[in-house]
Amino acid sequence: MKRFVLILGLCFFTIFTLLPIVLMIFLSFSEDMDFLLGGDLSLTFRNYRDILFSEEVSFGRYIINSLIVSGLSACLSLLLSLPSAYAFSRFASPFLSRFIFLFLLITMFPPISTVGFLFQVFSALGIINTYLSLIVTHTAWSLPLGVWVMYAYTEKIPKDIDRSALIDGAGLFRTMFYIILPLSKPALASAYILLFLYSFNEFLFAYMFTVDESTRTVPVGVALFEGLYGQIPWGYIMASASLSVLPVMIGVLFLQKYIIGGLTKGSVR
Amino acid sequence: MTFLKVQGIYKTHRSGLRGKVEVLKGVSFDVEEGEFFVILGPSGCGKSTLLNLIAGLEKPDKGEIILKGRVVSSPRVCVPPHERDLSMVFQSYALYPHMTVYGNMEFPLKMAKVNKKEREKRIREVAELLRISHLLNSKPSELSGGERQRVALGRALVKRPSLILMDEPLSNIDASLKQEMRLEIKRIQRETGTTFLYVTHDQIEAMALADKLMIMREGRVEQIGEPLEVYKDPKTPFVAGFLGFPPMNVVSRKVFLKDGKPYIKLGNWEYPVEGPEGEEIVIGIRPEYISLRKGKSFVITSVERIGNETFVYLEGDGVRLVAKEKGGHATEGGKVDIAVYKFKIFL
Repeated sequence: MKRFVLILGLCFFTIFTLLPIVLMIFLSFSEDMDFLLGGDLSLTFRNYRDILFSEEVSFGRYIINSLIVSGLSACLSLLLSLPSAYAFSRFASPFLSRFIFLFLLITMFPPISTVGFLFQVFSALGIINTYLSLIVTHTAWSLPLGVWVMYAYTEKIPKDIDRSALIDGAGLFRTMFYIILPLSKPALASAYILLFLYSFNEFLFAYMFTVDESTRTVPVGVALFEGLYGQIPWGYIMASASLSVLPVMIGVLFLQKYIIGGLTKGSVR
Repeated sequence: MTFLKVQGIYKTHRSGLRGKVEVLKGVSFDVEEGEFFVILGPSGCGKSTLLNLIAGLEKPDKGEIILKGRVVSSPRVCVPPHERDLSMVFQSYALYPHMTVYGNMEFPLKMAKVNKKEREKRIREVAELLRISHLLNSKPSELSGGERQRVALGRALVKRPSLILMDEPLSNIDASLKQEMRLEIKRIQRETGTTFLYVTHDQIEAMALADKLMIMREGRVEQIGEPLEVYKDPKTPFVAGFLGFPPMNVVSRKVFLKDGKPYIKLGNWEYPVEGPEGEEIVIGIRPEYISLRKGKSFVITSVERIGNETFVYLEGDGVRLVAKEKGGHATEGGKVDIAVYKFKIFL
């Protein structure tokens, strides 16, 4: 009986998660968006052909922009997260470490409350409509998440390992580089995916700080299809949404093999 | 020159809920070069903290640690661990899980910037000494407990330190392997001539390994001496009760007068002592120094036959005793008298 409920629950959950995606893919291939309301159903590649090759829509450019911004900001964020998390887990007093959740405070601000101010700063610096403005904001905004994920993991690495490295003559940085970093691979991989996804899907900053195709990311580009034709081009939107899932999926598949537990097995009993 | 001199060390730990805990309360002792020095004590007596202080992982609140004539630890000085010419084996082994056995042993040498050829030579040597040459390419996760222990020891040895600290290195190994590893550690210490400072709560380990034994209790040193000397002549009831299996019987008796002379009495056994009437005297009797004969002063409450030895538990005269017999015909519920061959008075 318990098993039955479990399976039923899982089925429901699967349908709940997958249905919109299936629908999205389905719609991206259909000629007429009204078929759900009784229109004709005819399948076509036209949506894909248009967004990829038509002169008016530079979807390919958006994808490249997105990959550059997300890839770099996730990297930068990760690069900063590991040392912060390590420092927090090893050197914060027991009192202070109870407040690590405050780190997440910055992400609790609605982005809209800062975007105006940031725009002024970036204008003054002359970096509006550059990758830099997006990478900097995305890194800052995703850093707490990275620190949080890395902290949870580094906390689990036995402290005897650090002490052992210290006695073996490795200072703080060499311990981090030779011991903690390689041991943190699984967490780095999961954190990278999360940070990448955050940046890849981020809309508000990307919308505000970009002006033309040269820097627009996928979410902004897709949102702007609407204005392009006066009516909502559902086919294009669905096709680009389907395509934008691809790089992320490939990334997850590639990183999956690193996300294995038990890497510290054998170190301590 | 004393090799390692620990002088009046005090250390307080701050823990979240319990507030301040004074872990070490004025610990002093000397270790000579090439000695196998064992620190024995129940858990929580401060022995691991002491080891951390010597390693340089913590700093004392008061007192000094002098290693080969140089002050390495004091409230003001803390020479970093790798400049102390020592290495440490942890209770948890603390091997680097992502490195092979070879990598683990190479790490301290790499950090010390030893050249590649020399590194390889030393690792091969130590691996041979520890009989782990066939494991050099394995990862720690592929090894058994005993093998991991050897690797941890190997990593400590390749540096050729003048002092090796060991924090309960055998406590995670099962009993049958423990004895083997014990012999192994002793052999390696003899062959390398390195000074070992070994912390344990296992008295058999301590007795078997130590050239010199230090017993600690609640942050204080109870007694220091050669193991047999400490066993035979414990200075405090705690040491008496802690060493030996079963432990020494420690009982407190009042002096009484018989024919005008002071005596103490335990069941049927009486013994002349010095002291005023009514004074409490604490005596310790090793189980093997009690022999049983037919009588009525003590009731046998329990009998444990362990191979060729029998532990007989007695109750009577307001105390509980344990006696150790060879063979033995004691039966539960029987009544006996005792004879005491040797005992010790604690002042």
